[in-house]
Amino acid sequence: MKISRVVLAVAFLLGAAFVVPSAGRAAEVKWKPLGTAPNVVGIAAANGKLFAVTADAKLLLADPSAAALSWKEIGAAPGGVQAMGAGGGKLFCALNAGNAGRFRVRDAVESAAEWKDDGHAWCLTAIAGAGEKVYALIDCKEPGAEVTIMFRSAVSTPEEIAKANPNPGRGLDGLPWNGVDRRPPLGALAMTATGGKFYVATKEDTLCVGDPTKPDVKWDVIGDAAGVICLAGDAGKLFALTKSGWVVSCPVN
Amino acid sequence: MRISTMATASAAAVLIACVAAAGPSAAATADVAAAISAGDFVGCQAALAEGLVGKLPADAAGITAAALEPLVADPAVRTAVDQWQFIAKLGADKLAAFAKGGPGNAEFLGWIMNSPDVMDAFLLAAVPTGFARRDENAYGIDVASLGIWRTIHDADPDAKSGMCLRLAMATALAPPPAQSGYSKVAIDPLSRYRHFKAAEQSGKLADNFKNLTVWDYSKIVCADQSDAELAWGRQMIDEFRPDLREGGRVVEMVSSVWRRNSPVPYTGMQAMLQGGGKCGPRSTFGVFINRANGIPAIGVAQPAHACVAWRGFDGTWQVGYGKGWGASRLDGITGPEFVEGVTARSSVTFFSMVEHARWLGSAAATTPAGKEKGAALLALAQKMMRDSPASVGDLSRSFRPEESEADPGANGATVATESTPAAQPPAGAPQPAKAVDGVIRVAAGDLAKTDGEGMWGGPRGVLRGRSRGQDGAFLVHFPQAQKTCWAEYIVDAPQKGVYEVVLTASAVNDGQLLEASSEHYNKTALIRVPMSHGLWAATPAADIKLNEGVQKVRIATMPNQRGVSVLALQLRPKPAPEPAP
Repeated sequence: MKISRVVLAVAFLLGAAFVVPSAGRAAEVKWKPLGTAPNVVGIAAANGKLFAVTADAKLLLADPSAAALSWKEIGAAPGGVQAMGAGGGKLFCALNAGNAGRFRVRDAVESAAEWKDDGHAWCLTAIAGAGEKVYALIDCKEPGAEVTIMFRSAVSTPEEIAKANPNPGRGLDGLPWNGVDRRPPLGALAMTATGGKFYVATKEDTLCVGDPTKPDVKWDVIGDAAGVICLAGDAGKLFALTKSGWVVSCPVN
Repeated sequence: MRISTMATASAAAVLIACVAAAGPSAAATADVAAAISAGDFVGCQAALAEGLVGKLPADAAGITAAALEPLVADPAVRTAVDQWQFIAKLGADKLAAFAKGGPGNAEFLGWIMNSPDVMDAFLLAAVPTGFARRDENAYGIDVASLGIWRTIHDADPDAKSGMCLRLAMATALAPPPAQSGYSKVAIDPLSRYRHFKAAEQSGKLADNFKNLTVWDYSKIVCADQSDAELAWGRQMIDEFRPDLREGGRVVEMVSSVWRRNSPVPYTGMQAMLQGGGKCGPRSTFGVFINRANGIPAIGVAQPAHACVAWRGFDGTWQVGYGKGWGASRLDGITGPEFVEGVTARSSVTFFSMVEHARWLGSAAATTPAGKEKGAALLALAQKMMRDSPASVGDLSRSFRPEESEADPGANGATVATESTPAAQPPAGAPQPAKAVDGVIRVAAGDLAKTDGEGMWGGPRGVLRGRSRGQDGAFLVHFPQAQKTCWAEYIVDAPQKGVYEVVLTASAVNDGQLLEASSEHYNKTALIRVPMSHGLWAATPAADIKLNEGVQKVRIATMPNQRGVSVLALQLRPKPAPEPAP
């Protein structure tokens, strides 16, 4: 009891969300390699398929249930993607500052479709679609600044924009991103949602689960996430892109 | 006194008359020996002048450059001229006092004054660089220099010829101060001579050091830093930026002297590099680091600024970290005069002939019979000096002028292109470093790949240089002011798990950080590089995860650091923690 108080105090001082290591965590997550993803910078999962964006602005599709992962180009992707996600039948991309930090949306279909601009998305490093909302990790990479979680509606309407952001300026047009005042685990770098749960991979190679849509979020460490830089979730499965260019998968409850 | 003067004069006249028959050495030896013995250099000097007048053409109109050349080349004339000038510059009375200072002094003087080559080197080194002061010929040589010279001469048999002789003469002419400027350590000229001799013999100085002139050496040995600081200056270059030894570019270390008010007091050159400083300390450090590595250098004054000048490997002098020569003042003269003077000095034979003409003219002018011819000789020397080809080039040119008031790249300036290109991995696929006795050891120079991006441009990736120590191992240098910069290594881990990574690294500033990471994990290890004054030190152990087998390990700099060098990496499996009871 005393120790957990100390841990809580340290976590509070560090400004980090409270992370509880689960007993026997290694047994909870078993990653299985599906194949490689050369030149891929982001993945998302929807409708039983894997979507990927490449560094040279292509959108790829693969069937994760196939014996060997095989990527097929299905259209163009925006350049400078630094985060990708899916939810509600849509694919989302956040572009880097070099590409004006924009939020792009298209239908999660297996053919070419238009990527629509839907406002700003500065400093987004991960996107998780959850119902009608999208949650994102925001990392401004300032020294000493913590990663935070923000959210907005998955797809905006002109009425909503007019109501929520009557005076856009300085590149903050479109729907504003709102803070939930709930921190991700320390060192969070990838996030996805599936089955009503949010999963976060950290710079310390851990996989955590929690629900930032509710107050008093508690992040549980449920296993390793060695080298994971991007997460995608769909139908009870997690997919991860690793820094060495592999796509791995594991089932989750 | 009068008798002895007359006797000496008579003897000199006789001896000089005999030069043609008996050869120059005999004449000079007898003359000098008598003067030293009698302690009367006034008479000796007068006799030498009389004798020299007899050697001149009968008519002043016959004194031309064409006539001068064979005259100065005549060994007898050259010896007598040198002896006259030697007495004139040191002072007959002071020389007499020195000669009477003991039998050793007399013998030493006898050796010098009967060695025209020795006198030539000594006297020519003492000639001022500026044309105006050369014309005046009013400078003197401190007789104390003979005491220093004799101490070295007696202490080291090697100091009688060659590089050691020139080094001894330079130490005598331009001795270091009695105490170092910042570290307040006593400096002894003999120790200074031995310091540079030993450094040269062990191959620690610039490649062309052994070929420098006495005057060049005088711009090295006079350094007002302790011998220990000089030794550190070389070791630091060897363990922090050995690439700067190529082409004698150690002056580029000035870019590593952080331009700011130093947070640490200057207790020596190490502290100056650690704390940084503005133009004064940067100038001081620039002069110091050149001299420590055997490169002649001088501090330069400019309007509201100070910077550094040094002798390039091609023999030309450069000014850097400020404005060009046109705004400079050094060595008691203006920058353009200095460039003109050192260019003239670099034509050794012509420089010697002009000065011998001047000395001969000065000697002749002291005699009633030679007054007119002496004046003609002085005019000829002046004309020859002025007519000598000495292009001063572009007076506005300077090395890294953008860093005169700023750190590299500050104020939005494009960073000066590093003279050392980014490292290229060794040819061929790198072999994975395997564990020996459970420990994976990697030489930092054996990198597989490197890249990066400077804050203000510059080369991409680490620089690579060969250290003199550590069996000539290569090190890699992560330059200052990088956005990103990394080097990648291939290792073969015997087992999956956490490894402690320890680097052998060097840094010249406090608070330097590197990151280590492996191919299959996000976890990075933050490595705090101890401030080691640029010398090798082991970093505290930091943890990274490795998979079993062959994989990449990357060492990267954090943004906007001040520069770190790495010699080796060591990866050791971390023991599993003891199970809780």
